[in-house]
Amino acid sequence: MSEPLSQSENFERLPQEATVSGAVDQHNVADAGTHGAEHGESALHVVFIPDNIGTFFGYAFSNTLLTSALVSVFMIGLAFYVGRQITTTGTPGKLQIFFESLVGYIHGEMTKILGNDRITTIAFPLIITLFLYILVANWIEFIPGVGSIEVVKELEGGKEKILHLFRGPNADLNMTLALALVSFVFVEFMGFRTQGFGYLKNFFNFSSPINFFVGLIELISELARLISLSFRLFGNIFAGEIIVLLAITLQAIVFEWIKIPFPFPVPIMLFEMGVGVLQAAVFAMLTLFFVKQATTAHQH
Amino acid sequence: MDPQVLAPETFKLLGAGLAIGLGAIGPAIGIGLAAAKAFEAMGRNPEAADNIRTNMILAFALAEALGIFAFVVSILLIFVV
Repeated sequence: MSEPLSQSENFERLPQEATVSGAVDQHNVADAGTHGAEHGESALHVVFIPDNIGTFFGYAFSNTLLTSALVSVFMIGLAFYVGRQITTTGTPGKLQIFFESLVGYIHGEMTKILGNDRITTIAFPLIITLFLYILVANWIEFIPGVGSIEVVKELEGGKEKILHLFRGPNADLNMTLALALVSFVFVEFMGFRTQGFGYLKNFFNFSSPINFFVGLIELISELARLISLSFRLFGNIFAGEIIVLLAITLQAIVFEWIKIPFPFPVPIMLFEMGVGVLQAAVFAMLTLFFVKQATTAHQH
Repeated sequence: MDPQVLAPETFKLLGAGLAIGLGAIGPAIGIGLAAAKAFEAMGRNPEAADNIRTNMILAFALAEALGIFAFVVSILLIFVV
């Protein structure tokens, strides 16, 4: 580890804005509890578990929870603002046209995929909410201040600990697991609603040994969806933040060499914004496919 | 040899890198094949492009799930073990 030692001097000179949420400097790591062993002299530290910035009625309140609450407030406020401006008699404004075409497009696509107006009417609000919420939650990381504003917390021993006030909600596994659970419960609900208790026959079928094992595999793959849905979103967003951090440190190193600022992080951030849309769309679409799978009866 | 090189930490990090590196090969091949065939099908039958695209994304998700399991193992090796 001799080479990173010389680089770590460069890292220390970085401005405070350079630390992205999800990946922070050395202050945090000692108390984060995620690093069982020492990581040598490398200055790039990644915080896996979000910081707790306070308590709320006795429960720990993490920075991702604060950011996701802000996203919710923004979405609800936007909904009220757009809803108040809607006219059915006068000339519609730009916002109304944008949201009407968005909602209309998604509704049309859903009707085409599900092929059933009644199920579309039930599933539409949840699917579009998942999409818009995850999209805004992914894009909020690129607002300056998210991940760079820090608060200092006093510990018992007179020590100080630097915490980050905001962090992208989907860079927290708890958040994505909660979203996956919402999607999972909704899919099962739709299955029971359309097929009644016959829906259980997909998983517990004792008519023949082959059907029994097919049902067992179906059950396992149903539960594995929770893992794949939550880790897909988390992995993409968390890895995206680490890549942005690497680009920023690379920029600092290159600046040390040639004294010319080179905008490495800009294309990477653009790419990550594209990933944000894609992952939001994938999450909503997979929920839609699972609803379709659960609502169409199996023909064995 | 430097005893630092043979520390358990070394093999943990090596295992994490190998887990995600090797684990990404399979899904990459699978997604590539699925996309190639789907685009071929769209070229032959443009009317069915919408239907093919949605099924293609579903196939991506199923192939990608294995890559995600490799990612989980790698994360577990770095942060938990």
